[in-house]
Amino acid sequence: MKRIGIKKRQEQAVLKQKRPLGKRIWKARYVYLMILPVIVWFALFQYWPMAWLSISFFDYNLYLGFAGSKFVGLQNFIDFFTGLDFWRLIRNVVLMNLYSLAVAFPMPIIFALFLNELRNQKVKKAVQTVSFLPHFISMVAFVTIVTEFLSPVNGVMADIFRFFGKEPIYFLGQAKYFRSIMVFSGMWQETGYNAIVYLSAITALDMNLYEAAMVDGANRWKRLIHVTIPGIMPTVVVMFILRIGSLINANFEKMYLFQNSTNLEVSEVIQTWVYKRGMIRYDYSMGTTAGLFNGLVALLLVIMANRLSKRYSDSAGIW
Amino acid sequence: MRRKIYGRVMAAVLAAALLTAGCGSGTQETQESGTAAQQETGQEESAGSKEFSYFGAIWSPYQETSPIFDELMERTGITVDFEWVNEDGLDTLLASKVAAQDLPDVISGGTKAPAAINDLISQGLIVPITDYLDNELANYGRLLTEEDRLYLTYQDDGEIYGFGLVMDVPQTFSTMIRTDWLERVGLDIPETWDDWMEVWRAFKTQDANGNGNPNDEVPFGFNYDMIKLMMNVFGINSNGEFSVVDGEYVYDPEHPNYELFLDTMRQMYEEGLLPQDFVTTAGTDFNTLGASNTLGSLIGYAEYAKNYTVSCRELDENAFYQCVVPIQGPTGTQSIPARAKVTGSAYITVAAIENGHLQNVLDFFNYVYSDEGIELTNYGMEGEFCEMVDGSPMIKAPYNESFAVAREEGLIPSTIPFCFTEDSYMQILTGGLSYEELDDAGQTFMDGLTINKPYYYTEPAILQTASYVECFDLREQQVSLRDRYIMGQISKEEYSTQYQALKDAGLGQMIEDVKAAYTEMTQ
Repeated sequence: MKRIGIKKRQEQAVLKQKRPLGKRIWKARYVYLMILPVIVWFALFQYWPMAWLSISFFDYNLYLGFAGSKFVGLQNFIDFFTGLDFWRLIRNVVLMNLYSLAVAFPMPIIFALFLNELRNQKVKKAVQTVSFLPHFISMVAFVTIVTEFLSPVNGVMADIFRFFGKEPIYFLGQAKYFRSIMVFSGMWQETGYNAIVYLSAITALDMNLYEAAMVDGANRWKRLIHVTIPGIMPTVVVMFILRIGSLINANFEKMYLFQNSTNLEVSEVIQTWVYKRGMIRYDYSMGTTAGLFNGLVALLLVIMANRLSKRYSDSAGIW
Repeated sequence: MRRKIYGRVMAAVLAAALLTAGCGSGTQETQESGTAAQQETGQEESAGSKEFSYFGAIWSPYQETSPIFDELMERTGITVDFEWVNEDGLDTLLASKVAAQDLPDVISGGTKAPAAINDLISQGLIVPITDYLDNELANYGRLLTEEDRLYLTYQDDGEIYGFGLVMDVPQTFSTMIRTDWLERVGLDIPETWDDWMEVWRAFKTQDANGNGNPNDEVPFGFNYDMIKLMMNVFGINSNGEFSVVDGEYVYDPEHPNYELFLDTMRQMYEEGLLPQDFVTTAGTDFNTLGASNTLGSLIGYAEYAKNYTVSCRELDENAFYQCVVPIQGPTGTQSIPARAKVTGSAYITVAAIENGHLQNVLDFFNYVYSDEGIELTNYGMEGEFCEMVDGSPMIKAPYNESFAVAREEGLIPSTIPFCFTEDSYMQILTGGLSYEELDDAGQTFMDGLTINKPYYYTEPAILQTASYVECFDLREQQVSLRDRYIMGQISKEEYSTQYQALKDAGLGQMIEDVKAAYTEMTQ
């Protein structure tokens, strides 16, 4: 194979740009063919349904459709923003996610760094496998396990409390524990799985950097601080941006399953509210209004986080 | 070059596979539509065939098909296209069907109405049956008293929409107490409120179940879903949310005794007389508690006395839950709700009219509620499920051994509207045995059905006005306040302030609306 210099390659790239679009597409037709199903899927299931967001401007009658529904303009938005629930929903989801961001977000990074430092491959694989498993438990089973674990009557936690001569605590019956239960159970479920992306980032690091650091006398700790962590920082930033984007999203299934009358004050979030409004009360207009608001805020948050990451880090952001 | 060809072939195959996978469900749907269309055509060809579609909830031990359904269809000449769905998924699937304009002719929530039925009614998707009750559905209409009709009436337009299970059976709630625990703590069956408190405190502080652990007893419990049974103790004869006080329809938190209920419950919770996790102790969790040999007394279905006695005897051979009269509360009142005789659980949709199936639906269910239909659904076909003794049907073994067996085989099909008779209920309940032939657990169950009769009250209907439906989240938040107050998580001031905020946000208007609706209805 002929070696081509950088200059030559750049010239070829410029020439390629000058070719008509149709020719370029035809040239790469097999690549486009492969991506076609994804484009079709996105168009059908992600973009086409967006047309129905206009439900939020109607008093929508499910059976009669748009033709039989009354146009109400922004009334649904006014009702949603001025309703008793609005600030409570926002507060709950934001506090929950900030808590999760502060406590749960760093855990997969720490875990990946820990796994990377393990020298015994068998132990490493065993730890990795065990840590992945909770991710694959269905949410209903997962919530049942946590509920039983925390039960003040026959739960493991109750037994531990009794062993130390303390009265068991009804964790799921007190709003003040709800966020912690959500965050820490989420850590148990997702830390191992979320660490995959950081592990792959670590394995992609240039080994020459480690060798150079060793030559310079860096011990394992210093190699971790000065090579590994800076090396995976772009990945961390991208993951952070994605998390920021979902700052007002919540794990609906989990929130809903853990919800009871005593934690409703902190467990009701936009997603559970939308579900109750839309799927239980058939108030699709109000449900869609809340969902649309949720989506727009999430979009703004992602744009904001992306800009911040570009400004304050070496990362190129997501786009 | 060869590698390039392989690459192209692989790319084409992969893309084709992905496309096929992506479109798989659509293809299937098309095929199904095609089949459905063919069936429709086929049905059109067979002149005279009658049919309708039925979308309803199903739960264990009921089966999707049964010889009773087959017999009903054969006798009426009407084919019912049943589509069953798990109770938990019914509301979501129904919403999808409505949105897809794929309404079935009849929808049923099982033993209760689908959660969003009022929205469907207000959107004009449900057919009122008021005018049919004296003609096309006369067999159903004859089973309803004036009070039942009021109970079923939709407040906004005064029409009756729902029909469903008619329970012509004894009332079934009762209070129960472990008499073996009473012996152990040296106390008698309590009569007054102070007696009950003394007993509960004794259960709490002593090793009432005799297992060596004085801390595992739960003196008193109730299924959280039936907390209204606890309100009765305080003279609040509630339907779960409302009661009638001096002829006025009152939201429970506005009841004069509600504060007493809250304060006493808070005190009981603080003393450990109630399950620590009572807000999540419902359904199977409550059954687990009852069977655990740690529950001293309870209010619930009388059959719990039998079931829990049998279960607890595996741990303690002397275990015995005795049914007793309702607890005399702090105000001296004693009451327990009578089970609602009628339930609006099934609804005819406008699709039945559009499809030309309305008459078929009415004819089919009119037969189900006829004498022949009642006999068929309660006793099954003669020879197979029952035999005639002195002119009366007697359910044969094994169908009379338990409700579970009877239901699994298709008898007493609560998944469709029908009339459940006292006679078949008692035949299955006793397994064909007389009271004397029953064991003590069976006898106390039977006692529970009779000793409470003087204390029954009829629950007022829930008047589902537009504001009642609209305030569903505010009512949910009131329940949250109630439970948090009982559990000592908020003070009375916090409760009052937050409850007032809910009233200002719309709950207050709802309270006035339902009050006015009740006044109008009773006048």
